[in-house]
Amino acid sequence: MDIDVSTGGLFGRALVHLEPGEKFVSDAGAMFRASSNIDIDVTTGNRGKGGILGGLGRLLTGDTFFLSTYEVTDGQPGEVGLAPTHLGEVRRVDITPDQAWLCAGGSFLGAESTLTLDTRFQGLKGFLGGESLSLLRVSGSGALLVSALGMLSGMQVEGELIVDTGHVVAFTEGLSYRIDKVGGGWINTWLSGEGFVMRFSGKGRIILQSHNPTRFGQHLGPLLPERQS
Amino acid sequence: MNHEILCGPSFSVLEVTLAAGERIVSEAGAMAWMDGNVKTETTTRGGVLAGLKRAVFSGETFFQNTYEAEGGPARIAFAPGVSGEIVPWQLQEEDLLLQRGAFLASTEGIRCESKSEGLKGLFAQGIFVLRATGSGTMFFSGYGAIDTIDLDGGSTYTIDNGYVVAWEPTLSYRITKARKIRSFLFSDQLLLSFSGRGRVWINSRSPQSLANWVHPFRRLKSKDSGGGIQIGPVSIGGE
Repeated sequence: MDIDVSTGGLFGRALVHLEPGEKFVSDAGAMFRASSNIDIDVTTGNRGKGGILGGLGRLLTGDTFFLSTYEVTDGQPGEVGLAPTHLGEVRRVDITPDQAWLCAGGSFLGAESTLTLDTRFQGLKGFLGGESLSLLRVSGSGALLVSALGMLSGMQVEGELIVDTGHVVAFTEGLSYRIDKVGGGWINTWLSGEGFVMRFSGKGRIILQSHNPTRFGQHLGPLLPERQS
Repeated sequence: MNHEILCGPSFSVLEVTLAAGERIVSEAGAMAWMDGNVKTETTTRGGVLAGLKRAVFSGETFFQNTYEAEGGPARIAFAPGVSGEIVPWQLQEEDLLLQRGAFLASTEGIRCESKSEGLKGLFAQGIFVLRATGSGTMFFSGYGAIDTIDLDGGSTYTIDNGYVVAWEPTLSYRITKARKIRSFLFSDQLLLSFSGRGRVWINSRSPQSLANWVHPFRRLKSKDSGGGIQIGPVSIGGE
């Protein structure tokens, strides 16, 4: 699929070019521009998976919960522009059938509809310190778009790698991981403010983001007036 | 008058070099730095009513500042409130319509006024937009990168209302009707369908979207202590 990913400056964005018959799926709020022949269908899951209840499940994780599906309606090529909320990079990851990926819910920007998005896995949510992590399993063949707060950095894992949950964008399935505290006892973890980490082991690829959106939110939120709900 | 965009594209700042006696107008608060021989004059530009309309309806400032280079050339720099790109644009007895807050600076021949878009508008920040009119050079800015979309009269283009920065008055737009589900789910986001012949500028980030994202991080007001001092259901000294 033909996708222009703008990489200049802080403001990554993607312009997805759709041919007749092609479909693209994104987080429902991500579309900021589209040619007029694009039809938008807001659903709660990809390819009928999940349905309404699946959508509600995602609603509860606090991440992407409604997906928009785009396709052209008039047999002519069309385009859809997608932009994430944060300042940062957008990257295309080409998924192949032999290697599924797991993508952090908050880093998912969009995917070709030939990919299967499995949103049932919800991972960690709402532990100490407001950390949360929901993972999307992305499998099949096609383009996945991920976004970052800040810059993205890909690396090869061999052996063990410990990453703060807020910096994980995506990684190949097959890497084993467990959610862990940094070290010492629970009290220590809580006091250190480090929150939860993912302890990866094995061999695979991982994409990280330079900044942790949860920490950014925790800096900003208390500066604002209290909310009613 | 020469201008240069510094620190772009992510943190664009406009630096203008004025010849002796040349003047430039900006929103109050946009001036970032300037030489010592710049004289500042603060007025409502167009009268109190025009200033009020700008301030109340279009999110701009009541006063606008005019800067003049005295006795020699001078440099002056203007910075937008959000990080992103700045676009220079020429007007020749023409209008340009701008989203609230997008105007940065202009030469004196351009006036800014508030314009009601009526119910068809419903832009992210209200139904009023800003109309720049006259002749000269103006500068506007947006949150993020700014892309242009040129329409040739034969096609239409769909844009989220929260991302529109500016558009030529030869274009018209309406809220697209086919997106009921979306409108229902995201009441602060509407899709506008632009048509006609002309250019529309859009930015690639939305302050509203960021604000929505931050919202859950705000502290929750506790039910007991809310609303200051409560004396219970009995009013003091009443009845």
